[in-house]
Amino acid sequence: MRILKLLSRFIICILCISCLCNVSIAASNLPTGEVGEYGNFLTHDNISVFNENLAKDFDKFEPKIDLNPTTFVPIEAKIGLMLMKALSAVDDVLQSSLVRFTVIFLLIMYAFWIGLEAYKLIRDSGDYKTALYNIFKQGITIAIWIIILNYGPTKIFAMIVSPILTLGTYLSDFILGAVAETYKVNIPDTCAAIQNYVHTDKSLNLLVDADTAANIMCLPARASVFFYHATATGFQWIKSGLGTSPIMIALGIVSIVIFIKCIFKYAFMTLGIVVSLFLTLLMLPFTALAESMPSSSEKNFAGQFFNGLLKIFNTQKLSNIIGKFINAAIYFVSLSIIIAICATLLTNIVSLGADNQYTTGSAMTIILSGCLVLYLANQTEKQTKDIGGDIDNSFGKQMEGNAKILWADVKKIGNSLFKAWLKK
Amino acid sequence: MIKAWLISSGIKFLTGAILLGIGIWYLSSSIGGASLSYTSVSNFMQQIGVQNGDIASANGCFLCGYIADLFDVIGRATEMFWNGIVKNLWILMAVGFGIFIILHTVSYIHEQANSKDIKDLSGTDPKLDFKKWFDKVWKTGLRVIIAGALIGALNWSGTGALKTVTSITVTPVMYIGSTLSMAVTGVISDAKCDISLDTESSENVLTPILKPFMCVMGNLNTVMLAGAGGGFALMNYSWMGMGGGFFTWLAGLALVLAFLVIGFDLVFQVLNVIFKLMFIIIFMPILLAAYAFEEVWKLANGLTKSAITMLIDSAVSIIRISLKICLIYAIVYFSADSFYPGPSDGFTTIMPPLLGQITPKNMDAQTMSVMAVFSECEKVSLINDKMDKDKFISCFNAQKSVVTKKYPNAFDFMDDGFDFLMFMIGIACLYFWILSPEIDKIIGSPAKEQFDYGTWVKNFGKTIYTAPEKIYKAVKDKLK
Repeated sequence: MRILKLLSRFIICILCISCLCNVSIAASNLPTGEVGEYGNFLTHDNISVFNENLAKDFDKFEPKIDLNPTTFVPIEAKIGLMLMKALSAVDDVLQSSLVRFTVIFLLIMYAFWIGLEAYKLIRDSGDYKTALYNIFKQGITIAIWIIILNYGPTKIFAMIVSPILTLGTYLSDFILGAVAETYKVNIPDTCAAIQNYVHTDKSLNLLVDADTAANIMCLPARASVFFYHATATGFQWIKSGLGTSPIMIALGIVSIVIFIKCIFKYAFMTLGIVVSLFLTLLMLPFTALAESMPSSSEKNFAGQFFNGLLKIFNTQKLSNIIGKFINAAIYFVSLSIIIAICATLLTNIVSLGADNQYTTGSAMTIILSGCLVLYLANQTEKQTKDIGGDIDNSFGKQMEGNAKILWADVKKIGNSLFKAWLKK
Repeated sequence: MIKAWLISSGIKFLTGAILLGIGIWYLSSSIGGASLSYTSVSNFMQQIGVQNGDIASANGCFLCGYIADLFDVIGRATEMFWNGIVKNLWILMAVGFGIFIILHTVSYIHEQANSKDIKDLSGTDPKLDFKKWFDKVWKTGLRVIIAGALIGALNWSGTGALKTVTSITVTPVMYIGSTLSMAVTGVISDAKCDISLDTESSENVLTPILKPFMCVMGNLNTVMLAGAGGGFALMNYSWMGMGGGFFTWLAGLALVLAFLVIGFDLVFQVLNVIFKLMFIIIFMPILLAAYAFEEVWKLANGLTKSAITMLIDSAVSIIRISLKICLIYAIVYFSADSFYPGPSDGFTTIMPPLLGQITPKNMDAQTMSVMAVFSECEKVSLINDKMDKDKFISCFNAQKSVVTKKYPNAFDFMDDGFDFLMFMIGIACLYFWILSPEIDKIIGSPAKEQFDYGTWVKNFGKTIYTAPEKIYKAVKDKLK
């Protein structure tokens, strides 16, 4: 709720400023040509001039996106790459400071733990041989982790898990290709453009292999080209409906809303997984703590303090982290199946010719297919869970929750305005 | 009715615009001179008022001046509180221990009197199980002695001992935060956070947390100002006719607002942490005394554990906040890098290369020429830590004409406003929907704060924001 409020204020502010600025632009649309009988300003000529001017403005406002699949890199893929770069840069910075901190912390905690063990040994008159063996074993584990930490745990681990992600993205690409082949539909391959984009980045220093990064972002982008084209078609409908058909304008707005939501839904689901995986990698120095330090069984003040310090981060065991990557690979494969279904549906409404030109279906087909695709997008988390197993869907739930709050707010404002108008 | 709705919305919009305007003015006035280009971190540090490399002196710290005064006042009050309470705590603990022994003995006798074993042994020599009574007494007694010794030491050495206790418990938490935030913002080579200076010299008991707090805030503000500075630079490019149009201006405004909102949100989160730590310091003697009776007094039970949890949560919060601000800056920086100017090569004209001084890689000749123009003009125009816009523009125009002769499209990147604006909207969604919650999830965020001063301050701000609307409604209802 708090996030949504902040975001909505930010958007409202930008919209208000753009509206205020647009007043001066819109002022130029007002025809000053003629005044009809009895001072009637809305003459036929004035209205047509007004519509023409508005259409021209709309032309300027409409984003010019190059939808050629060989060069088209969707904005979400670019943001995804920036995100991966940022997370990798932060990892570089953290490794230089956090590793040193973790090593010192490990040694202090080890000394603390030995103290607690010694106290327990004296108090309970335990077996000193077992205690010494445990202290030695723990010392070896810590030494190994310190060596790993000094060599950069994130990069080592990323090297190990990258093939899992590569396998997942390869299988996803294979499924999309197979669907396209079977149903003889042309699902544009935007991956080459994304690969090119990644490779033209001269300062690329990612935790994962550059090709793997491109392949991850490639997955949601396969359907993006349809979504973007359908959105652009929505703009066209609004333009053609100006002054002629309010229904076309409404259809245009609906189309834009539906397909932009689809773009966001798929892109943010993938980005959510990326953030989760990279942050897990970033926290690897703390995994060293979780792996090498057992919690103390002492219930006294010192024991509580020791266990509290160990629980600073909700670190995961290595096995859980590897499991997370395997789940992500399965998630990508499952997602590709849903995207393949959506893309097949969308080829009925937006088709790509041999000359890389798009043709679109009728308005109602686009809207109905769009609604179906949006429904599938909303159900994706459940479906991917059914197909591929458990995934983290907290983001989807949050976005859905926020969207519901936004819709409730819009409805409330609409109702109050309608009631105000009725009373008038 | 519709008129009332319009007026009410108008008032709301105006109040919002005024508050945002104040926020933007506040950020803008924290950067010395015009924001036009930031090609080096040290130049940027000068512009935001960092003195002698001390990051704690960075401008733009929202409420910092007042917080420093507040620390001073609360520090003195804490000292008086400590002096007053420490002397009497011994007596209270002794009385408490006496009451405990009486109650425990009464309860023990009552329990033994009703015991089945004793009744069955009538006629013979019934033996009482004193071990049960003694176990609880010696354990509590030992706790009382430990806590008493600590409090006695405090009484003997005055507030110095409590300051030492604070220094070894609370200061490390803030030190972790300040060191990590220095590392993540990457300003270590251009600034420092010297915690030892004030801690040793000052008499104030809150000093151990004041300096590290100022360092954390200094880092946070450096990043906030760097991001906002990038936005102001874009707005200025468009406004001063250097390049770009309406969308470049709008993208700049979006960047400023994004860092304003995110930065202030994080400032309130830091405030939360700082007041928690203050709470621990103020009540340190009572917490120590409560430890003695933790096992036998329900009210004291878990108090020490809660204080430890609070301390650890504070350390985690500081790391979480540092990581959030660092990640958002990194994403925006790399986005700016791919636009102003593209392609991505580690260099951008609008934002300083924080994050461990990102160095440009494999730059092409055209971008190198652009870089030379901006860094030269930045050097020429920076007078007394302030950027002189007229000097910058005249330098820029002169140098630009030379570069454009060789590379006619070298400065076209300034027109990429619309794409960058879309990026900013996407990044804002990314931050609020994915990054922030994910970091909260991984670096454990307390679900519901018990001691939430930051939110209280924020709600107070919201009350001020809605005040004109409430006044309007009250006047309207009266006039009905």
